[in-house]
Amino acid sequence: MSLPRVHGACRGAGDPRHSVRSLAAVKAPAVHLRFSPSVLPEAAENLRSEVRRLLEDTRARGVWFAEGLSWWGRNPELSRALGGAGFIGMTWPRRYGGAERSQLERYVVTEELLAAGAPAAFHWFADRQIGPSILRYGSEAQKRRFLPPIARGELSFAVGMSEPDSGSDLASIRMRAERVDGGWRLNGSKIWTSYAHVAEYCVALVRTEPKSDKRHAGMSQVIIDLRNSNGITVRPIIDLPGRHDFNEVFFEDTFVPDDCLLGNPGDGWAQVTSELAYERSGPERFLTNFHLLRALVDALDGSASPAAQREVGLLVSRLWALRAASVSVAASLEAGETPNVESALVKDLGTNFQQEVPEIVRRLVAAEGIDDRNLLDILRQVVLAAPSYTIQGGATEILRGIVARGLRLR
Amino acid sequence: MSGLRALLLDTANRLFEAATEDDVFEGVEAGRFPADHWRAIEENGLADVLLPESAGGAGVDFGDAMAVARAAGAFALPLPLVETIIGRRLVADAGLEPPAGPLGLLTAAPATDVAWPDEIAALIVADQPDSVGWVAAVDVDLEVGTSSAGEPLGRLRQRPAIPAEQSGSPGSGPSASELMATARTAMIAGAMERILDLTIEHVQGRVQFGRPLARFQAVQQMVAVMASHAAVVGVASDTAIAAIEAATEGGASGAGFKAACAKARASEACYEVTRIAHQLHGAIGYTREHDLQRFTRRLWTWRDADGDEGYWQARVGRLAVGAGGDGLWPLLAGA
Repeated sequence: MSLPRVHGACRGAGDPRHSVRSLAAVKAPAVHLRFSPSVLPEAAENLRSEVRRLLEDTRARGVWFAEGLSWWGRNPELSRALGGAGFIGMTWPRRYGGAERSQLERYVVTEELLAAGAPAAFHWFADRQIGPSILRYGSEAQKRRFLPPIARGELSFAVGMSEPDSGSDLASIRMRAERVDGGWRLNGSKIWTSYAHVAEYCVALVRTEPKSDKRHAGMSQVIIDLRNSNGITVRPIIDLPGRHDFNEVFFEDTFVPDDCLLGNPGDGWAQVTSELAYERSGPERFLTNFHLLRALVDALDGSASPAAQREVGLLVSRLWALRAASVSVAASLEAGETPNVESALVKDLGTNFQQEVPEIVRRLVAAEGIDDRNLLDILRQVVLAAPSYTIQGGATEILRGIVARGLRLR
Repeated sequence: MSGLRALLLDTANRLFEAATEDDVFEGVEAGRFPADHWRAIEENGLADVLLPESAGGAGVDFGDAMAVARAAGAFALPLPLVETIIGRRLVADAGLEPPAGPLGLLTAAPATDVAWPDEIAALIVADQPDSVGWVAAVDVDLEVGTSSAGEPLGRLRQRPAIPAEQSGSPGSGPSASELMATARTAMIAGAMERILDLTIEHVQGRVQFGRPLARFQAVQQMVAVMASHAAVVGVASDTAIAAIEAATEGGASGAGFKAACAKARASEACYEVTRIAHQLHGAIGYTREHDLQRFTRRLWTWRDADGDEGYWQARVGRLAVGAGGDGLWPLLAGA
């Protein structure tokens, strides 16, 4: 809604004591972030019970169990079951193994996986960003080769973006791809490459031209076969909770054939940034530790003190509002828009919320004298995982910079 | 936006702008009710927007009425308009003739403060699930104080007795407290949008150390945080409104939960939004010479009005704990 502006912000016009008056009269354009309220369509809601049924069946069969890692856990068998039911790559065309569903239908599937705490990392990155990139920028042969097995839940991808000297400043990457006969020769390294030690492929952002004054020029994306290429060394990096999903991946004269370049040479930056809205606004930015909230509610039951009920209400009301914002971004994506600023905002608020959840639960555990083994186990794991939320997929400070630019402050 | 809503907002914006001129605010600070502006608003039908056409209303939907509430917030309108809009609707739904003039509204939410206690014509009493009624203002015992925004505020000393002929059964649908929580959230959202405008305008125009404040990264980050809270309150407001519309049309329920979440979130966000706005405005924002305080002082009143965040968080928390671990996600996802 746009309203006429109120009269000058500061009264006392012409009063020499207030030189601020003239400055305040500089009118800012009324720039607002747009979140149209959106309701998930009936088709999407109908899908909800199908996903729940599949998750219950597979859990009952012992395929998976809810673990502290939540969706970050990796379970190929569950991913194959989801793929078989048409829940991976579901927005893609049928001829590439998709189900031609809407973004909002995909949204429902994603949030149901998160709410159940299902381990989904095997297919997550390919379903969320790599598949859509291949669909949008890939050659016909690449689409036919990669998309159907991704959609079946049989092919796992890792994301190769950061490098040892390039974290938030992604445009400073150094890994090179040089033109050679029949393909490209890769030299350099990628870091924080989750599951590179088990994934079949990695899509990496590399330099196909030397650095120039144009910061975002000369980069390209390549699809690398991690199992069958020469010159690849994977060094595990154990993370703070003690798990191995990070890796540093070294490429030494690694050869990839011509048909592994994704999109046009030099378009890499535009390609990776165009998928950011999908990566940032999704429900994994506020539902990653939903299992902790769920365990808290279970542990409290009817004996919760009024203060404890208020704390639960604080968390639930924030979560509800975040979801409303996130659904709105999903609807905007479905409408073909690129709400990058709104997505950055959802990720910032969502990950900060996630970080606060374990702290509030800690206080409640002490104040209410909760002695629930399940809750305390999850709490311990979530406390250890919490610092990563506001770093991965765009650090808080970067996200706020994007929001500030959206408000035309930079 | 529908043509009807655009027309309605056009009228509302024109009237609200006139009702918030500097001299009107000076009078309000001195406790003078801007009666002529109220009359103009009433004569243009804005207080009756939620009445069915058969009762002389405009026959607009709840979303249109809430767009008016948001506009009232965006102007820091110092009049009891939303109380009157919702109060008249509640009385009409109970099969009664709505009283004329500005109204106070008593709901089940704990804050029993009534804006402009000496000016209201009647108090709508809708704090019980099984009855809605009204009492003439002369029969209401109110202790008069002042709100953070400088407007007179009355606290009920004693719940008034309602004459039988002025009492009826409430209509079906969301409760009075949920309707007011939603309307107040819309006002808060409108005021936050305006505070964000004022802040952006200020940091772009104010030059220190040779550059506009907006060029400092620390400032950019603060504005981003504030804008995020304002935006989420905006979408929370719109989502609660849509749920109440659906409930009124007999559609999917969950409106009570959503209204509770929305007011809890909106009241809670008032602290961060006003804190950052004042920090960035510096000393000039801490004066009556600057308009910022019109909005921040009202947020400090509105966050407590119709139940503060603690009250609504407790309601949400009770629903969540009642739903249990298995029911928590269906409660949130509304399915």
